[in-house]
Amino acid sequence: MRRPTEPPLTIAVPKGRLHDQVRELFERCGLAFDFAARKLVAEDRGGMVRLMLVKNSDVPVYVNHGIAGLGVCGDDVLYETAFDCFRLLTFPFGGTRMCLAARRDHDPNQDHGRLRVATKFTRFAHDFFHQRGIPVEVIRLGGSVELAPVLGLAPYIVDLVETGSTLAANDLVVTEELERISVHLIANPAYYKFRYAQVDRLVQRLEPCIVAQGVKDESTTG
Amino acid sequence: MALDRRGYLQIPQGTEGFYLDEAYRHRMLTTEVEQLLFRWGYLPAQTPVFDYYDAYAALLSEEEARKIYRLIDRDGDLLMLRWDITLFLAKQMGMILREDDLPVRVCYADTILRHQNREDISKNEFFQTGAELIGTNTLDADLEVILLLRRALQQIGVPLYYIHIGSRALFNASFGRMPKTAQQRLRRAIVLRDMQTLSTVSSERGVPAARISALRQVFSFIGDSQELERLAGALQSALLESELQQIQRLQQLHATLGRADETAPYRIDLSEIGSQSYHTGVVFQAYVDGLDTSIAAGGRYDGLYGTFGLDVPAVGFSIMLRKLQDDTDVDARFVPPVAEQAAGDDFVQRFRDAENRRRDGGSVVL
Repeated sequence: MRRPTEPPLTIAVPKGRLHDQVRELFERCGLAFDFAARKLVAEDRGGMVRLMLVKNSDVPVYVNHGIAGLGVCGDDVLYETAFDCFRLLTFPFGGTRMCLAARRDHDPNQDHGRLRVATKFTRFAHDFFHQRGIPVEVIRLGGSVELAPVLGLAPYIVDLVETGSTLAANDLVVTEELERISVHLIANPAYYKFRYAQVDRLVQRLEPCIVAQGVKDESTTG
Repeated sequence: MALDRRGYLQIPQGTEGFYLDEAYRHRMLTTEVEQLLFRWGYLPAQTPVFDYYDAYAALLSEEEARKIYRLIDRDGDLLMLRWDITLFLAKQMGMILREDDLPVRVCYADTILRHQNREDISKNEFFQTGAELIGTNTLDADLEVILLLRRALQQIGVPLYYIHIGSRALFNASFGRMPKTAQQRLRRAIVLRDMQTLSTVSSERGVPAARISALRQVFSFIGDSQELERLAGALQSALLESELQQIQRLQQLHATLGRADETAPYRIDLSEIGSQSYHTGVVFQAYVDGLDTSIAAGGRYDGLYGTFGLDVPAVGFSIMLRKLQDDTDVDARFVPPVAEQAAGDDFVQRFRDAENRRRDGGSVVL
């Protein structure tokens, strides 16, 4: 519970599916939110947490600048912003894979030792291949990355892959899984340091629900 | 030819200017802090704006080196702009101080120049005010510097803050024998409270599981001296003697701070292991309610002066005053004087009138 003198913890949450999953988890932990129509900010009934709905890629920006002390954010987004945030928890949902993909009929011999990659994740792609000593040309795209090999912009893409159905629909295949991506509860370091006891209480409240959901998911998928 | 307004009239990333009322308030705030430092026996030092890069290269981590602006002088020597005052001060003071002069108390207030992420203005800070106590490595010296920082924050009028105190010596006791690359990964993991990476790196280096568990508890600890004593007692069998010694030193420091300063805003935080590669002992940072980064940082650096020829210990801190200007009552406290118009029929009369009124403390324009 929030102590009487403590302001609610602020958490930036991405709109969309993650928002639904976060709210579902929070509700199981006794933190229910009622968002009024068109409102992007809501507080739980106990006044412990204030959620702010923002664009996925903006979550670390709000957290880094302390507008939201905490955030729900994937490794992919966090890596692109290069902000140093604490990772307090890993959620049992939202996990995905960062993959290198190409057209099914692409011949790697045509690469001549140099990759040409289209992606939204330019920092990740650049660093990943440079750290492995592989020359790479990175082309930034804002969306519909799967089109790049189809239209001939680049033979490869680096993108998040969940089921692979979008790739398959565009006649692309995963050539390599580059990284596992998880979704975390992140914190602005200064915010955490100032309110560590209050934040830790929230983490301790969420942890059992996360473990329970993780076990449930494993038994469902297993 | 007129300047291209789209380009050159912007200020490049990594510096800032502030003017008139804002500059007045900043100057007054700096003066107020300097006056406090003088009363504590600290005398000012002025470091050069740039110096030879090679003199400092061995002291810089890869990440630090990336933030430094470098230039080549007319003789082809590589120079670096002042990116951290402590480093420049160590070289200058190392050249002029003799053993007989010690201990020496030095303070400074100056600009720093470093590269900043274009998209991360929250870290922009180009002005440091600070103090260093050179030539003593006692607990009393650590206490003096932390209490001085506390007084400075009080003087500035920071409403609500905590000073988190940790130890690089503790980190060195735990991981000092590991290869440099492993140490770098561990340092980053601990600073970011990423205990999973701490486990992974320790495990890769063959550290037993029971000890990894103890290290995770130690380096994620935040609390007071009693809580730390309880933790150390519970983990005694898994910790090294050298680690227990450093923990005991922190307990003693924290307990003494509590006795010296009853409204103590001090926390022991073992994830504080020092932001600079030259830190060696106690380290600390101050966090203010509502600010997105720490506003003061400091610590002990007993090996730094030795690099420049004078092998003496030192401890100090610097405050990022610009960050605090919006968070304190500086606006209300330091209102720039409104200059009055001098009276008189001609210039000489106006000059004399202005001189008289200025003698009484007025601000008068001719």
